Amino acid sequence: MTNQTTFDEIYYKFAKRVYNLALNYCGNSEDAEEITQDTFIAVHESLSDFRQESQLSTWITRIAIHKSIDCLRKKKRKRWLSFFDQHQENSLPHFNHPGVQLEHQEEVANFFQGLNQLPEQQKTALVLTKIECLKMTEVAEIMGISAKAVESLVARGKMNLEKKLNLRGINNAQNDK
Amino acid sequence: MLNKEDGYPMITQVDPPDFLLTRIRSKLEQIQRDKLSWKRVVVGFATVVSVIVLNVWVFSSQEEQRPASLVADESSLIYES
Repeated sequence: MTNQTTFDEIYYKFAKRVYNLALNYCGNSEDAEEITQDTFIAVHESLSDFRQESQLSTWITRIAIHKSIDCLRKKKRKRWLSFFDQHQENSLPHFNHPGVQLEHQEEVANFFQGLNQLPEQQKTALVLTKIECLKMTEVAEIMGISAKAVESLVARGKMNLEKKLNLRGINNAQNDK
Repeated sequence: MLNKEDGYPMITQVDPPDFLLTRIRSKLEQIQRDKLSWKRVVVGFATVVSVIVLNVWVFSSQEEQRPASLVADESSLIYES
C-alpha cells in the first residue's frame, strides 16, 4: 500500500469528523475548510512519527483542535491589528454554519458568540462533550487531562456560558427597546 | 434548533466539500516542490563552500611547502661553498 493510498483512506475516514469539529469550533465554513486542510497536511507530514500510543482518531482530533485554536488566535490578532487600520476590512469571524438551518442561524450564532468568549479549555470541553457528544473518557484522552478535570471544565464552562448568554440577552433586549 | 433538554444547539453533521481533498493534494505537492527546491539550494551552497574550502586548503599546503624547499636550496648552497 502506498503512502498516498494510506493518506486517502485516512482522509475519507476522518474528514467529516475534522470538518464538523472545525465548524463547531469556529462557526463558519471558510475557516473550517482551512482548518481541515491544515489538519490533514499536518497528518501527512507527521504520519511516520505517529507512535500509536493513542488511537488515530484521538491523535487527528487533537491536531484539529490545535489548528482551530491557532485559526481563532490568528483572527483575533488580525482584528486587533485592523483596529489601527481603519481602511482594512473588519475580519470579525461571521457565523455561517451549513449544519444549522437558516431560520435558526441567528439563535445559534448568539450561542456561538457566547461560546467564543469562554477560555479555550472550557470551550474545547464544551464543544467536544455537548456538541460533538463524545464520551468523557475520549474527551479526556484528546485533551490530555483526567476525566474529572474534563467534568470540572464542563461545569465551569456551562456556568460561564449561561452568564454570558444571559448578559447578551439583557443587552439585546435593551437594544430592542 | 436548540436542544431543549440542556440548551445546547442540535447541529446536523455535514460532509466536507468535494474540492477539499483536491485542494489538500495540490497543497501537499506544493510543499514537496518547495522542499525539493530548498534541498537544491542547500546542496548548491554546500558545493560552493566545499570548493572554496578545498581551494584554501590547496593554497595553504602549497604555501607550507615553498619555504621548506627554499631552506633546502639555501643549505645546499652553503654546503657547496
